[in-house]
Amino acid sequence: MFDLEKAIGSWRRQFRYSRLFHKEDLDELERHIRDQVDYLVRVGRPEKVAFQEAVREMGGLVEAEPEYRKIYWMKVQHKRGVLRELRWRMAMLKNYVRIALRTLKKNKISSLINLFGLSIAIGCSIVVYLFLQVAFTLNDFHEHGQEIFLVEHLIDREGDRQAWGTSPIPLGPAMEAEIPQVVRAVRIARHWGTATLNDHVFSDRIHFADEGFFEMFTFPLQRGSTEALADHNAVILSEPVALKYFGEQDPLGRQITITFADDHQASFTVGGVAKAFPRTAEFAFSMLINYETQRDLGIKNLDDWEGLTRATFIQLREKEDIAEVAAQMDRYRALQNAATEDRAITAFAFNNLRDPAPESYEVNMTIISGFHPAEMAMMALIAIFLLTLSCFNYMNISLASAAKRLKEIGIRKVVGGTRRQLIGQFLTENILLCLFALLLGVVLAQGVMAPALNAMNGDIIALSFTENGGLWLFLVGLLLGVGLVSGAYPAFYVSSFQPVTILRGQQKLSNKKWFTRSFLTFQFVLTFITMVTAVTFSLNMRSMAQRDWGYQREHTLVVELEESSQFALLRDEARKHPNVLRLAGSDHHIGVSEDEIVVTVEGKKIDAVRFDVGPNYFETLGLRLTAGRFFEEALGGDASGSIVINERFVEAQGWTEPVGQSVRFDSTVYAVVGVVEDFHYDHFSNPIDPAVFHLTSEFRYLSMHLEAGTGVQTDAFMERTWKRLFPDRPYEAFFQDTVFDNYFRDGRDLETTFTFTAVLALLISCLGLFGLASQNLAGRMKEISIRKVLGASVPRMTRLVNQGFLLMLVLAALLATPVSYLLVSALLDAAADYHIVVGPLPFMVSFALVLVTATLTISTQVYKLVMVNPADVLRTE
Amino acid sequence: MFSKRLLGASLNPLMLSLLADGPMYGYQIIHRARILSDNQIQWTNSKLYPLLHRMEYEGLVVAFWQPSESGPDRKYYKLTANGYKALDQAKQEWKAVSAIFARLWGLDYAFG
Repeated sequence: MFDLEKAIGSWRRQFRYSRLFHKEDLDELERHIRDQVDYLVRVGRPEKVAFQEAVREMGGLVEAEPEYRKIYWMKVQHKRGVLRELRWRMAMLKNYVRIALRTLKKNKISSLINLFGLSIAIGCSIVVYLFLQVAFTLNDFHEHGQEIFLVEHLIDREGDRQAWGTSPIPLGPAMEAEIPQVVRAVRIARHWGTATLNDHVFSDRIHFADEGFFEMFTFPLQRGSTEALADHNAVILSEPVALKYFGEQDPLGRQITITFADDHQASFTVGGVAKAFPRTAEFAFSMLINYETQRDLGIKNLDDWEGLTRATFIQLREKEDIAEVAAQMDRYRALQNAATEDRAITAFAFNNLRDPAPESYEVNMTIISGFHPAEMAMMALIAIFLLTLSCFNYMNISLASAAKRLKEIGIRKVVGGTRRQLIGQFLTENILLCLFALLLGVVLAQGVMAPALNAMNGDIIALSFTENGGLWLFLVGLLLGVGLVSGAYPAFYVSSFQPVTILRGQQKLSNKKWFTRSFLTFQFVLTFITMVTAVTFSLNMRSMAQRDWGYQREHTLVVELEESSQFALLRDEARKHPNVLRLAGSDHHIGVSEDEIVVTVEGKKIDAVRFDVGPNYFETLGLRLTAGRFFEEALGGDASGSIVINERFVEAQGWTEPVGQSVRFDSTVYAVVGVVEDFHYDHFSNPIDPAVFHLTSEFRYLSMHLEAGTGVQTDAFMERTWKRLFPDRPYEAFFQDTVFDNYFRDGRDLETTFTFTAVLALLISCLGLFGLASQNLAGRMKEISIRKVLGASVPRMTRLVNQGFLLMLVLAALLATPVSYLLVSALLDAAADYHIVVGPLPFMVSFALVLVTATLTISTQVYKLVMVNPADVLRTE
Repeated sequence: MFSKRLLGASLNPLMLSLLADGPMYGYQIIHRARILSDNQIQWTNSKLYPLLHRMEYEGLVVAFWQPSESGPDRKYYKLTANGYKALDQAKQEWKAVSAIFARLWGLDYAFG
């Protein structure tokens, strides 16, 4: 007997698990069915038929759901059902997370591969983010940064415009006094000084700045008062310097005696100690003294327009005033050009402290150069590149492992899982994995990568979660970004399968093989490129280390003098030592210091570098003569009228007979008496410019050519002698072959960065390869077992299983060759003026390295293949 | 039968016009529409109820439950002040469209 109430009850039950229908909605629909049944019964249908008809008309869950879904969120808000919805979502999420954890645990190898690859890439990205964060916020902590400008000047040299970050010494005060928009001007100068305190001798860089320094810049003090800067007898210390000099004692009120060049000496009272400077401070100070003190000390003539100061900053009332200020600069240009005819200024320029011009790094001698854009771009590229590689790994491995999960997907769909839910599940799995990778990445960044970067670039980054809100945002963004990018494709693809096809066992994944393989090929192309780059830079470094510097750099000890009078005393002692073969004094020194001058030859002006050296300097350094002669002590005339030039100079002038030619600089005409072979006075990133040697008797360096193998011994002897002769001065000496150490260290850092990237790229790609190869083998176990049973040999099967991968590697190598050739050549050209020519060697080395590693990776699978017992595999069927 | 598009476009104004006569419940609305249109308008339940709910959310109608003699309570819908405003606007629009067609097709349409 048909029971209407029962029938309606079971109709209602189908909606029980759909959260789209509230009870009220179902009441309404039920009433509708009842009305329709009443009507149909009235027109003569039996009750059962009437009910069936009414329900058919009403439509089932499937038809109703989409319409109700459209208004669901309106209703949730309307009916205050947010909490209910949230509970439902959390329950679903819990379920996803549980399944995800199970899946990750079940597929240990692929999970570990993904985890490891991703965490390396994430660690790198974190470090790069921190680096870029510093690079983009340099000097931003200065409160008035918007209104502060650095005064630069431009000069034209043979149609080539150069920008300089220095400025004429009297410019700052003149602008402050005469231009109403300029609130204050602050000049900064630097000198080396030797501080003596309780028998300790320290050599430090001393900064001089105008009184407005602390009003203009935001450098708060921890002790003392900023007014101390107005006092010509006071000094303000940085935190590290205060610690170095006074340890835990209170430095305020203590005396420090400082000796500057040429024996200018003065005592200063410590008037303040600055708080630790922010990491983003591009310039700060170690010991700060009033600018005018330079005048009191007689170090510098401060009224001379010819003299340049390290930097002049101006603070304006408003940033926009800069145009009006710029319009008033002509009078200063005239003043400056009247003072220095040889170095005429074309114009003054201004660079904002908060938003420096992008090409600031090209300005010579600027104190706010920022990081080179190429360096920033390179770091960002490395991070993106590693992330891409690991995302590809994830996509490949999860696509390949989808084969194992086909039944799960099919069943889920059959029991009512929607596609959206499946996508949600796969993405949750991926984001969970990314979360683990993120945690591991943070550990890697903190423990390995950040210390490595700090070791290369100076202590610039710190991983701090308490002070760095941006880092949190970045990490969350990274998590979602990497999680979605790497997980989206597999999730959408896998969830699109039809349950019927899956459960019948007809779902084919093979059509996606080209997809995963092209990803892997692309990964290896990238790996090859980084590898070639790393090998080339490594070879280049090796070649540069052996490059002829144009003179004898070994066995040469150079002692730095503080004043010329020390030379004769030291020379007489050194001459007595049997290990000293030759010695000479000089005012400049190759590789350490030179002057930049403008030389006039036949009415044409050219830039040149100038070395003022004593007699025997050429012989001591082993510079090689190609024409004419060196300076001769006996020829009295050499001091005033003779110069020796380098080959580059001859080349620039196109002289065939250089000896006897005359050139003019410093308002004097000089005759060329000799030509030396070109030599590197600067590192190999910079070209060799025309050079001029001029005879002097003022010396700041004593160079000695020593008996081979006696360097350390002679250095110790010189130090003893120095201490005996000048007990209150620090002994400073170096070996000539160390003058480019900084350059070589930078080069090695670059080499390390490239090698590091290449190794990581290789590692990540091989992890991907391993994952794919093992999936591939797992999928073909049955086939392989049958082949084994039928008597196929191991080598034959190895080839069969792996030849696809090997072909892929070869293809990657072919694709990578032209790309990496162009890239590496461009990189080398950008990095240095003197470098090796890119030959076949780096390619051969890289390809061999990658091929060997990849083959090793694949051969782990061969072992599996050899060991498999066909009976075990086939018995399960 | 009207085309799906025309039905879609006229759904809102029709619903408003039907409810202008007084409060009604869903089953009643469907029947009224069917009778008025000589079976040319046949709304399905899966469309009708979500539409009523949307209009309720938009503030064009209010819903209330009322006891009935022949079984469980019924959910009635009635126009709000905003609903009447929306109806006026719809009327003007449809009249304007109709006037354009009258001019295009001549008087026999208008009086036919």
